[in-house]
Amino acid sequence: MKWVLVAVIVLCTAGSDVLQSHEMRLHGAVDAFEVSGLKQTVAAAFGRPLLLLSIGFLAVSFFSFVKLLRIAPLSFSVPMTASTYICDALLAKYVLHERVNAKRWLGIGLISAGIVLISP
Amino acid sequence: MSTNAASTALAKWKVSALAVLVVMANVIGNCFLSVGVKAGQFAGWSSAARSILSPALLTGVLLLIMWLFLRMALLSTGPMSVLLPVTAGLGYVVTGGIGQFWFAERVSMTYDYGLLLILAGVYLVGSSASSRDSKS
Repeated sequence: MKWVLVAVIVLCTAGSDVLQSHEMRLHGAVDAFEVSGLKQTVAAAFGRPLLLLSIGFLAVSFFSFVKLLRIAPLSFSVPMTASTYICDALLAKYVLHERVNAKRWLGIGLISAGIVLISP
Repeated sequence: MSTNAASTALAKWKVSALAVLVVMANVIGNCFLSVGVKAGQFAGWSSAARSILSPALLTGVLLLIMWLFLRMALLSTGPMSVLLPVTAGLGYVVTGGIGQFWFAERVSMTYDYGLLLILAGVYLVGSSASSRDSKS
């Protein structure tokens, strides 16, 4: 059961991230320091179906994490969900066609390894 | 400095400031949520409803909603493979820093090494971004 929850968390979080990134890049750069920019972001969140879906994915991921914490120790839950960042980078490269160079892969690897080390 | 260069520098400054806001909204929101959940008595529906209306929990939820919209705005400005690892990594470092220096929590050497690895990773990811990224 705990491995199913880890898979749901990683896939839903990465899915939400890639949908939000794709939709917001399509929408165009938003200046969040202006009221009109924040209004645009909120309007986009409720006006674009894929952004609404991404919020749904995020909610599923959140409640799955709460459920995982009930059946597995934090020392298992946090490092396992750190693999989301590697999944994010793969999706960024192959779905969003971002240029992910060796330096960025190394950095993402170090961040994931660091999260494993700080887990209790 | 030309007008074009000035506007680019301003845009970069705004993106960095937005990234800081995203990190702080997430870290402080999670702190309030944690305090609210721990203080709440979830023994029954009425006590659960009272807990949901507690100032700490409400503040946490509002800050996390703010985090969601600020993160969307941030994602409109650059590549996800840079912005997400950097903000998430800094979130762990700020949370660790608050725990150690504000709440005087004792942590192991392994924890500090972990924070150093995350900082090194954030530096590498942040410095891997180039002007070509924004065109992808």
